[in-house]
Amino acid sequence: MYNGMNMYHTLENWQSIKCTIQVQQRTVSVMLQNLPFKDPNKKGNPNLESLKVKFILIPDTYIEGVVGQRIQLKVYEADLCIRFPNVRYLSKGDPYVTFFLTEDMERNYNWKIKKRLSNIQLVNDKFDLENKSYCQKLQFNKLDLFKNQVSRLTLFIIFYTSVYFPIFSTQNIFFSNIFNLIYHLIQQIMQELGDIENQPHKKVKTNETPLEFTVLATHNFARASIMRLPHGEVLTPVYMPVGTKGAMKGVTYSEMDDLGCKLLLANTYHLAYKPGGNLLEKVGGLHNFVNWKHNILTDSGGFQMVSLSQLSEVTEEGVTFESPYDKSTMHLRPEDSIHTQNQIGADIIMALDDVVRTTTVGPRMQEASERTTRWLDRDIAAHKRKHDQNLFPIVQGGIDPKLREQSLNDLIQREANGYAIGGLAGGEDKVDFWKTVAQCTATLPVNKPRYLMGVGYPVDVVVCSCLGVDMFDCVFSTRTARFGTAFTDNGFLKLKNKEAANVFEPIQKGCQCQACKSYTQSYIHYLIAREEVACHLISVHNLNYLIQLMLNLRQSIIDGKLIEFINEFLKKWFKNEGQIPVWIIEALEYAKIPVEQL
Amino acid sequence: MKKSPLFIYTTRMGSYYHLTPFNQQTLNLDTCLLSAGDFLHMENTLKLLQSETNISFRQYINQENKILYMTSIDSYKMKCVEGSSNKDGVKIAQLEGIKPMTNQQYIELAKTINPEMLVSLTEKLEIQAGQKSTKRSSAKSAKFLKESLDQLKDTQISIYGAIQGGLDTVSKIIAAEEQKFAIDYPNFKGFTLFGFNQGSTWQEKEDALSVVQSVFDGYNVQYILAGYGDILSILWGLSWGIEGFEIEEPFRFAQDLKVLLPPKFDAKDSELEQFSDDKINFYELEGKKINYLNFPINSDVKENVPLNPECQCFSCQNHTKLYISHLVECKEMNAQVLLTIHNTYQYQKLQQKLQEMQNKKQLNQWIRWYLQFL
Repeated sequence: MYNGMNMYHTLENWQSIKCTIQVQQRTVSVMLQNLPFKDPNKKGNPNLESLKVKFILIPDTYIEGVVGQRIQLKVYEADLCIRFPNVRYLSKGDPYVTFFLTEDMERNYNWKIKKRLSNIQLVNDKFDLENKSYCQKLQFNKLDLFKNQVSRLTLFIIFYTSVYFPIFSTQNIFFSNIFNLIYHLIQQIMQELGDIENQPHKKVKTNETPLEFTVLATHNFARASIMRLPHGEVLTPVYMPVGTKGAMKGVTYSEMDDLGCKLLLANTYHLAYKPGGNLLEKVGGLHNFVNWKHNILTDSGGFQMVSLSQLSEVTEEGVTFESPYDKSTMHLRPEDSIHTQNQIGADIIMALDDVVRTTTVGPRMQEASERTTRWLDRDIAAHKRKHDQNLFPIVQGGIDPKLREQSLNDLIQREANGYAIGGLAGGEDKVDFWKTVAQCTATLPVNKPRYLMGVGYPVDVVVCSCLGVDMFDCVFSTRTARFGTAFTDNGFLKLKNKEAANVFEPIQKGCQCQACKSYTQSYIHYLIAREEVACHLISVHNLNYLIQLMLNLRQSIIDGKLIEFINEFLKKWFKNEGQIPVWIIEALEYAKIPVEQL
Repeated sequence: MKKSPLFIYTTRMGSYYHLTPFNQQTLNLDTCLLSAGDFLHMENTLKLLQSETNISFRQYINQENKILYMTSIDSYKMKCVEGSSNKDGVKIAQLEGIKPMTNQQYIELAKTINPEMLVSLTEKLEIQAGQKSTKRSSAKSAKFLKESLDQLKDTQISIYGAIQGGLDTVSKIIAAEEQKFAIDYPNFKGFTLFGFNQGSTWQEKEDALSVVQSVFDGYNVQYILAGYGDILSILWGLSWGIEGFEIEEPFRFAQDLKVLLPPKFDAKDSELEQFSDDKINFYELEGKKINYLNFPINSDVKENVPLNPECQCFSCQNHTKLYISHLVECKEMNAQVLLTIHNTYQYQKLQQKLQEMQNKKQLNQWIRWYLQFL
């Protein structure tokens, strides 16, 4: 992946390179044609690292020929056409453009841009090739673009060259300039399209699935993937911060955006009470209410119901409990949970499950597991927004392999867009924990994301990523921050301890969060006792730590260096303790990641 | 003073209340009030910082390129300074409680912090302090001022004396006269005036200020108003020649879940012409108050609008009253963050407008125009 693009090349007679830029659901197809990317005088593959730019043509066309040859090119569905001057066009308009190939390249061109859609306007259409500056400004009529639900913006650029021009040559100033200009053009378009995502009336086309999951690379069970949701792409494995009541504690949504967070949690149980599903529906959903332009996942409320409320009764109908807010008696059926989640409008919603303690054994666990499946069918039936909300069922069964297997089989039959693994991180033995996770990931479909609920300790997310989990959530990062504990490569750092008073280094060297860029451990140590912004800063740091940990782990899978990454991580994390827990070694061994004991 | 009016925003240890560096970005805060009590327990750490690192104090508190204003009394922190029978010091509220601090310690701390502006050490009198206590206190303040001026003469720090005495004109005159010697010092710039907080009448404030100014009539003395920095006090003070104001109102309001909703600041020249250019009189301020909104509000979808649709602050551009009210009801600390941003932004707009009106020599006219809407 280069600069956020999927890139591949096809080798045909005329050689081409094609890549696709994904901007939400907008696709910019990029193809450079009729330029040999391989110097015939040199051996070996070209160094794709030098391709820093995107170059555009429409698909399914190619140019082939020799200098001086007349070329005819068919244009398909080009929204924007950029053409060079000094090219004789023997025909005008769609679908054909004809020009001559020429060797004359290094000039200062005035680019002519021909618009094809009325909703694209052009301002100041001048490029300064010699100075390598881009002074073209494209203005999109954003509302019209949105209204027309343009899902594919294709740019068409014709440029001409002689045959076998060595595009990778460092002396190829012409192409370097061209590429720079195209790169800036693409960036600007991406920026413009990115701004469009703020529009409130964004909708997914009904004939499109609200989730696409593409595995890019694997290392045994571990996967590096892209999950495309209604509010954008999410790179997985991913840690999802928890914004329980429509807010991260002490961290604004703008700060979350700045951290690169693309998917976070909100809590149906709390939001149903305040501000209420009806109000959220009226204001257009939680995204609008909190002004968050990326993705949201809501849980069903089942866990909070059990952990926070005075529980009265669980029946096949639903759950009766006492509201912790006003002590009133509440009833929650699967239909109610789904209805509220529909009103909240999250991109991923969870099926209501019959939640029991992880360590429960005997008939109650079986009853809960089987009831969860029956409730799932009711959840599915009640779900009114299948076109833009993904309902994830939750695999239950505690740590009983047979119950888990039954639950897995039942849920997989329902062919959901993704699956959650529930009922863990509740005090069970770590061996049972990882084995249950492994059982689930080994059975769940490989082409669907797996969400392990309630797990967010750095070590746990690393190990479970290796076992094939794609999504994690936990309040631990921000909760522990409020007590002055920060995540570092060397484990937990308690900033309230007096040892931190005279440490004039950031929490984590190299960390780019605002806490580490602005302050030392010493300052935060003193500030913790005096002003709550200290806890905000530690929260930001912890969130950034986990987000970056996941990104780095993911990249190591892509680079084929997961084993080195894991060993390095564990070596630092457990350095003070002197040894890595056995359960971790066993779990990673199962995942075919050999770990060296310290 | 670099620019007038100067708004000096209060902080805790150099961090603005409720604001991370990211959230400050849209506010362009350029001043920082540091209260001594926040740093006294860090003596060893600050020594190590100086001796063993290349990190300056400003870098340490992440307030480079800001005007630092150091004082012993910070209105946002309750009872931070008390009187002491010790002639060499006062009692200051620190992390571990109220502890004695000498003027020498205060001066040493000032050398470490190296602020642009330093208010000399003073003690806050009890409300019912008698004449004897007042005189003793004034004498102490004067002594502290002299020591600061003498010991910091080779630094770049501008020293301000502290005029206490509440609003009692006699006490104020005593305090002013005791410190009049400072005028001869090149590093002396003016006075910070204490005791003008709310709870007194505008006439009393006017009288108290007048007597202080009369002592220094003809001298080039700058005045800073200590206290909450409420908008009415700023308007009044600026009209009367006060150039700097300690500001904690935006943060206090946010902490109390209030949002400032001042009227628009822009006036046409034709609208100002009808007003007098004289100083604002006390009676013109009677009964005036700034509009604000208390949270939480009714959870009505109609409130899904900005705090102020015309406000360009981050909070109004990105969030709504309904959302902020929800945060308040859920006891989420982000409510204070967003309210702080909005409230502080109002102060910044006010400051810009006041500077503009001063430059155009229409300040008092504009203040009178503005008071119409309060």
